[in-house]
Amino acid sequence: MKPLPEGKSLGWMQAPASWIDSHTVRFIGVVRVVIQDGEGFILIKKGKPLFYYFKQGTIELKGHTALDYFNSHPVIEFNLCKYTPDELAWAMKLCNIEDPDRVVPKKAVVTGPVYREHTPLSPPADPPVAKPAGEKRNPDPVVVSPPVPTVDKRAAVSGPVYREHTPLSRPANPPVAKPAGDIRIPDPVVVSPPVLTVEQRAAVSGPVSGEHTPLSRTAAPPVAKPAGDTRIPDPVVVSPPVLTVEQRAAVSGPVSGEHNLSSRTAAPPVAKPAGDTRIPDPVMVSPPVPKVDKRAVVPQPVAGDDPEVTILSHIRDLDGIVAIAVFNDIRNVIMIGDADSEVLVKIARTMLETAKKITPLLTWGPFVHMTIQIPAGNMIIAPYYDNYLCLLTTRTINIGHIRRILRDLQQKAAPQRVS
Amino acid sequence: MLKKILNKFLILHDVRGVIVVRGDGGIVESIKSGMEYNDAFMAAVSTFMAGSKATADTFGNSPAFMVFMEFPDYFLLLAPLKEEFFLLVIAQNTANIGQINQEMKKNREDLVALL
Repeated sequence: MKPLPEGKSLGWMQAPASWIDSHTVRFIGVVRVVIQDGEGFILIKKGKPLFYYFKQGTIELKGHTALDYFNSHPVIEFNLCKYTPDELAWAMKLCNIEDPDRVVPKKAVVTGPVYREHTPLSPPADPPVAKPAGEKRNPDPVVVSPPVPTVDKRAAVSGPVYREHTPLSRPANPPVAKPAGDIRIPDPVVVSPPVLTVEQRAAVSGPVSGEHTPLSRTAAPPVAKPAGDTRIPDPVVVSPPVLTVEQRAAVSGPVSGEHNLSSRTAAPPVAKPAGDTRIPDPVMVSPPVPKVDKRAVVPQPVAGDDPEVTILSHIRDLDGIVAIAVFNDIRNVIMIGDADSEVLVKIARTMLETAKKITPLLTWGPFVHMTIQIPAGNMIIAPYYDNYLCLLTTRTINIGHIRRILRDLQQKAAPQRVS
Repeated sequence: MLKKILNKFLILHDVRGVIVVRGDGGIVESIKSGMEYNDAFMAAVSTFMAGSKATADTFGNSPAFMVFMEFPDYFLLLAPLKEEFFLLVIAQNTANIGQINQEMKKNREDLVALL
């Protein structure tokens, strides 16, 4: 399997999956996602998700199942990697998908089984991966619903909610999803979903208090078996997932504490080998439809404000920038770079409190920015939309340059928090 | 003598005030030009000092560090001199920070000797 092109990394972030959707309007590239021991990606072209994929051990999630799994986490860790047009074309080729802008006419009629979440623009989903008979290089593909965590009310929940997955067990004889009118294939047998339960829920940190509305999805579309293809075994049809994440009480604190950005290595997820026609095409997916009504961590700061990513990425790319954090009084919104984000933001908050106390005593107007020389380098704190931006730089950075950037940022962001 | 050294800062372009301040916010010496050190301002200085010190304490035994806080028209520049003594420079944003830093380097030893 060939990996996707690396692209140009814009840095690691921690945010809800829905943040990706609302902040990549002009982004072209891949968002590499790391959740616990699993890795995945979202291929995006100007805000339009082309392909969702996630793999954890032997479990592969594609399309909406992968998206639902991403959405089932209050915060996920991901790396935005920008693609050139050539890289995107190559990635799409590896994913075996075509450019929907070219191929799919507006309001195309989707025939056959359709996901309920599909937008009219989405082409019909290709059949999930099925392993050809005799194919030994690839493990048996299984179409599975996302791991279903069942978290019930527990006090003092803190941290990533979905810690332990019970392994999915595949049916020995996968049933067949029978396309309408196809009398050659026997009727499909629907298998109830594997329900993953979350154990050991103590000592979780982070705002996970949002109430998840259970995701109600239609069943995965029946899998069409190519006519006359006797090599492909019968695919598995799994019934919709049952998300039973319920009110998680008494949760506080930022989410990002449990992540260590610097410890991540984002190996690109596996993709279908080019030219391997025995493996069915991956699933095309429609743009994500946020399913969770309430989340502890809300995408920030401005929905649909794609330039934000660009600005932060631009800052991150400057020589001497070690880490970037966007935070507010309650939580850390975004973390990019290699630094102990908790410590970084703690220091920033301490100094911000000082600035808030000083500002009303002076008649000089709102606080604009602050630079603190700490042993590790310089820490720069500035209002940023409704939040605050914290930059950690090396000692060698040109502070004047940073000040100019901050000034530009603050001119764009009209409201100032401290006044 | 201390004022004489502080005056080297005050003559820099758009520097409005220079204060030698203790870690507890107490003023050791101060000079100003074109601004008033009223009670509110002195309270702000004290708060600024205390907040900076609290932040420095986060780093344990590491040496005290410089803090630069900018407002639309003015900025505060707090630099450590020795242990419990700090130099606070108040200047308009049009002042040359590099020049102020350079002056600090040149005069630090003299200032420390007088404290």
